[in-house]
Amino acid sequence: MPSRYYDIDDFIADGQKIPCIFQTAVPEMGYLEHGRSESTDIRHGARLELPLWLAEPLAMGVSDEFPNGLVMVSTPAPFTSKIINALKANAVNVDLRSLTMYFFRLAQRWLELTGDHTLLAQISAAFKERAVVVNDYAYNTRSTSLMTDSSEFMGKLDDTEVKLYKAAHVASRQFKKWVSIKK
Amino acid sequence: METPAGRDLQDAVLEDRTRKFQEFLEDRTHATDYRDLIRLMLVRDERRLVVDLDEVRDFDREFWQGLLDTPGEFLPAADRALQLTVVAIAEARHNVGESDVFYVAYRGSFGDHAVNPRTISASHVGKLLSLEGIVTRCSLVRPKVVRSVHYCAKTDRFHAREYYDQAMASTSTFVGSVYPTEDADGNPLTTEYGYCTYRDHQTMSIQEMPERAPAGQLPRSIDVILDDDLVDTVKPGDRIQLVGMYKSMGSRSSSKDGGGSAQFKTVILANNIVLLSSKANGGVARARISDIDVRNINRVAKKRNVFELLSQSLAPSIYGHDYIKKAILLMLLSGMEKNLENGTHIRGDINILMVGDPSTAKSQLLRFVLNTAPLAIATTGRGSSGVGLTAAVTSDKETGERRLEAGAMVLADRGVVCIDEFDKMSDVDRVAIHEVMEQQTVTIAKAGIHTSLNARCSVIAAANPVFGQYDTHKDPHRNIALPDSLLSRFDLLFVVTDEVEDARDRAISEHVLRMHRYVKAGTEEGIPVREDSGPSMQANGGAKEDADEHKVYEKFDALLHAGVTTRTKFNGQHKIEVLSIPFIKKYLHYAKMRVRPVLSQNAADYIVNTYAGLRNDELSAQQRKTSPITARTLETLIRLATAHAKARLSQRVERKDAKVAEQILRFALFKEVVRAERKKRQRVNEDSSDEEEDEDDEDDEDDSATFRSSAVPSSQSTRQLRGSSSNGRAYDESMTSVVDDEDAAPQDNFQLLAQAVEAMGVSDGAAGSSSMAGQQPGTGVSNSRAQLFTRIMGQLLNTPLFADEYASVDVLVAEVNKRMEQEDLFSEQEATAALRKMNDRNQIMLSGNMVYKI
Repeated sequence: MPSRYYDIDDFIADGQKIPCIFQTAVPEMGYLEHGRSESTDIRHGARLELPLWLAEPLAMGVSDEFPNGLVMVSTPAPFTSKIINALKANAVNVDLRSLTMYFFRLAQRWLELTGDHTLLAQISAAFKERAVVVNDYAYNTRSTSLMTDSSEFMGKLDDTEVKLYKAAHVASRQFKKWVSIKK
Repeated sequence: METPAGRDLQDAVLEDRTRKFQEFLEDRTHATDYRDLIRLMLVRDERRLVVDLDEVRDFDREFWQGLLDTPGEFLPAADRALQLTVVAIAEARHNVGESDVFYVAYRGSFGDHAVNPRTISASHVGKLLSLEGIVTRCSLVRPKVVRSVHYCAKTDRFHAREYYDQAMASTSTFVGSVYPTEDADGNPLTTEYGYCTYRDHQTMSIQEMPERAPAGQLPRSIDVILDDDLVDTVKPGDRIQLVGMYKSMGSRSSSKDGGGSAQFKTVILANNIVLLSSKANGGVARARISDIDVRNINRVAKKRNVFELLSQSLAPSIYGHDYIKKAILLMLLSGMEKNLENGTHIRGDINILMVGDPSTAKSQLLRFVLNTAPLAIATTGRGSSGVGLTAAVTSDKETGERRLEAGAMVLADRGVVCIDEFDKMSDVDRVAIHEVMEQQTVTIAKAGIHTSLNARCSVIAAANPVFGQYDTHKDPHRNIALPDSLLSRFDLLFVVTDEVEDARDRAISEHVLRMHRYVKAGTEEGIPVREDSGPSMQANGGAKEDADEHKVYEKFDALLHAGVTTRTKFNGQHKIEVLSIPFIKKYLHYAKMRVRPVLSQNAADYIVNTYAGLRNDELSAQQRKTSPITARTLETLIRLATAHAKARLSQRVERKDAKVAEQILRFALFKEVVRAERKKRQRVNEDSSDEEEDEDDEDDEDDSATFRSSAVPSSQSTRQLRGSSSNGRAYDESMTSVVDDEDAAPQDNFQLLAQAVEAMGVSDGAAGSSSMAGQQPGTGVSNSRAQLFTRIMGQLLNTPLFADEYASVDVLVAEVNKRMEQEDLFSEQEATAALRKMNDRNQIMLSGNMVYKI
């Protein structure tokens, strides 16, 4: 999944929000804070959801004063142990689309940020497990036994998997065409 | 006697699995320390340990797979492992008996084993599943023999036999229910019933959640068997997540039609039950209130406008209806129930009826109550019968004996019943709820069953007017067409009319359009909402760590909260505040549980005054009462005031509580709002108006400027005197009505009033003495007597007596005295003095012997 400069999906993936904990007070930005009316400032230790493109530079150490960055990022909702456990139990069954449209893109960015190897292993295992089934569906669109719940499964795919499905489907069609020409 | 099944299973594989699970329980590498949990379980005297499947999977994937796919072989091993671990851990204080059985319950991610009653299929038989649903029916709890003991008189020996039936997960072999009558040598055996061991047993059915069912299909249900400690953990109506083993029980009708059918009965043997909703369990809401919550609650309670803030935060999607929202808030808080020593029960729950035009969000409000109240049951007028609301006698399917089945109002004990389309209910059915609404019990005497059930619930009902549309030219009771006996049982009756008014219509349409523009955070724009959210990812045992758990305020959303008008001044700028619903739930729970307000003398005086005023006021031409004013109205005032005190978390019901109660009651009764600007006009025929003015400046700053100029100087003492004198009067009146009329209703009134007076702590002596104080002989007139005179005058002003705009003093005094008690008659001097006072206040014009109307 190479990120291209003009890739709109990349923009949207970047715009996904991840929970951050502020390491410092930010004056006059209190209206951003969730459900607090007491203060006009963002307090130290406030929890706020920030888009990834903003959270990333803020989390980097910007000056000597804040060696650990202005905010501390915490695990986004799609990568909490609950979801990961569900993926481990049966990856095919998890509705990734309802979690986030860009699960795997977000995972990629998140792993770049944190370098969490166990999470990487788990997510790539889940991706492989799902990819097999995606491929299966893409090759057998007319198969009646699978048709019954193919739409149900398709509804659970994230953006990357939808692209994968399309690619696999096109490939299968071209292959069939090629085979028929050969005859 | 041997236990063949038990022996057979103790083979090497079982031993191996048991050891494996024992290792797991003693392993300290995973997040949960099960040794601690086991200790905790023993201290609590429980027998079920909840184990996280995710940790089992991380520990040993094979074992996990086995548990899910072939639980019949793995569950007994796990249970045995737990038993062994318990024995190793247990200390003397833990009180673990030798024959105690321990169970392992499971939670965590079930993957494709998470199903619901619809998607469960033949491929799931014999597997461990997690499913969600609503409990629809629970059978009675019956004991089942697990071990019988027999005595043989000849050999003087005891024999024991264990029973395994299909309803036990442990084994595939089972022993029939026939117990031995003779031992191996043919000697007769006597069963020692006292020494036998029994286990509780219950069946229930759970149904697919209606919102998860596919469009156009009825929800399906499935039978579940509960054993031992799981028995009676749920009741019908609970939403649960159930972990259990799907098991086939053999042919259902094999004996009847010669075993021709291959259809097997399948059930789920429950292993773990998690209550899903925060709905009440056994009358107590499960809302957990942490110390942070308590701090937040107290902080909010200290705000001046806490009542407005709370009521505005209710159903922010519904525009306007401020008073109804306030009333609903008070209903959710409810007043204080009184159980007097003489056995009298005084209701504390507040009943509300909304009558109004179509499309005035009545049902939406009901729906909101349904979602917010800890225990709420919804019915509609057409969809419920009288029996269904109270209690029905049915015959038990298994035993054939007659038993009671609780109706909606009995199930909603200590909760709220929401009845929509109340007017569509037939009269016969409606009468059935009369008793519930006042006496709060359901008494049944039919089919040999005579019993009384508790039904202490609030009723909130919505109805349409008789002609579909509210006819403003007709009297309210013609529009509502419900009998007075029923209307008086409702504390508050709101008439919601759909008035055509340009500004209001625009505001509402803007509000509604904003609602439609709202897109839930995190959803894709322009994508249809997916109906089926599917089973949740985890069968979770509880502790949900949620960052938003302590959230007090909703983040202001211009699309959702535009209708909210309560603003808090902060740093010179007004801010709109909306409390989050979870917080309100906690607040209500806390206020209901912790605060038990008592009436203060001030509030009691005020309530008595208001009541007397309401009963005796002559109404102006346009005003009509929506419901009769009876002694119940007095109780309504007390209840509303108490509930308002609860909203403030105050232990005393103060005068300001009573005032809010009056305001809401007046709004409901006359559809009028007590406001400072209107008081001047009302003063002529409304005695309570100037009273309000001089109290308002005690606690109302916003409007103080307008008051002070018009406030009538009136000392505290006179008000006290007048308050108690009118109290005495009301008292006397109901006394005489008892003498005059032997009817049952006034008797009832008197009794209620007397109780209310007693409950408020106003002694009879005080009331008696103050009525004496009213009769001051002499030339002048006491303030209270003058007020009384003024009030009666006010009523007379609209009668034919003043048809010519004037009347002579003699005729007037005679007319006034007609309305007075014998011992309270106004003397001529008193009347003249009173008239002169009125003249001074510009209420009438006194000229010589004539009184002119102004």
